Amino acid sequence: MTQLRNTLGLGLLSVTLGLAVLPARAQYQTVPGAGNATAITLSNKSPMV
Amino acid sequence: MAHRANLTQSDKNAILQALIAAGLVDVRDNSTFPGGLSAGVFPPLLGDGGACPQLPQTFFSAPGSFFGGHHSYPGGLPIHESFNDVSNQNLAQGYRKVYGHTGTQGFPVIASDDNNPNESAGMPGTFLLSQNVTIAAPVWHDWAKSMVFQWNSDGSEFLELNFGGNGQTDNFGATGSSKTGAHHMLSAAEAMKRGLPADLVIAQVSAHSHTIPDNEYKVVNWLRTAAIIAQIDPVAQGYLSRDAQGRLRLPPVRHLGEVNLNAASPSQTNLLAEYPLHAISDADSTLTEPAVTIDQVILRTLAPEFGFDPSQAAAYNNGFRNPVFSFLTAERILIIYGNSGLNGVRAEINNLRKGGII
Repeated sequence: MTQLRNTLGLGLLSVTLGLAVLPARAQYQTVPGAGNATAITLSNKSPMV
Repeated sequence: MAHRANLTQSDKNAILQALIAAGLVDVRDNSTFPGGLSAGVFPPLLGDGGACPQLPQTFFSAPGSFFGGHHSYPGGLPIHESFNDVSNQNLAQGYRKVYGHTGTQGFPVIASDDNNPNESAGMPGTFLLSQNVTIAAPVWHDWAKSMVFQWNSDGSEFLELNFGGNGQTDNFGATGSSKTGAHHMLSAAEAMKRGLPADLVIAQVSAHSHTIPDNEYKVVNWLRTAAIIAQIDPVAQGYLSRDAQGRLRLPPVRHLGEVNLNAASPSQTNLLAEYPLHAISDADSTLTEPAVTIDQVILRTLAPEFGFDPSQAAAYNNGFRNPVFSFLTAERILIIYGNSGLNGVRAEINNLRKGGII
């Protein structure tokens, strides 16, 4: 149980730090997909959809 | 989108910390998932943070799974859900036909005809497989794939975070993993936030795992996760209950509570038939996953004939792979290939070319 608490504590710390200092790669998947419009156009044409 | 309405960054941080404290995310994923845990639990939306945030793409343009997985093309989601809905209704109808009919003398008999699929038609009122739950559970279960599987400019997809457990001690503290795709919990969070009934939400969340005693912890953890994201009390709202040991369990909906099934030895799950039937209807990935992986080999083989180079990812995915799948489906191509070979598939693609699709 102590080990689990330590793990959770480290997790809380790492996530808190992660939220405070977002690395550059974090922009990836933090804004709507650049290909969404293309997919909408394609699926609108398909009789299966 | 109800569960994301007016949600601030501070709210998101608090929800994430609550999930970590409850052991419902794997903190190791924060350093490996693109954008960290926050991006996985709160995929980007249109109007995020406002009163009425919207899906970032239409339901009808979303894929059915990760790029290279089943139904991984624009429109794959509604096609996947169409088949699962047909499967779930057919399963329910089969149970009604074999187990739900009463013959002469009041004894049950196997029906010899196809019956009205409406609830309780041709069967006693005591035998009910909810048609509403049967139809709605598959639709709601995958709804959030429109959020988690967004499209990149090269025609590939976002990655999906797996959570709903810490991956190590998820079985009521014992060894076990209940991590699963984010869409599973996010769809449930939306259903809870909208106040949908417990039998529907539990049936919805029973996909990805048969709701038998050995697996109940998974469904419980997914409901707990969804409730934290939706910021509701799952016990007060009837989505979970506590047993005599204080453990969260599936609740005794309808008449399930007339005997304390949790208190039996061995402990039993409060189970409606609609729960495992939905899990079965969501289980044809044994066919639909290899359909895509095999078809991708076939399409790469044929692509040069149609002027596409598979090594040019954006041109190939957007101009060939995705249109072919969106119009033909992976399952159709696999079945045609098995019976007619490359010529059969070639003819299907040639038809798309004649139609100006590729």
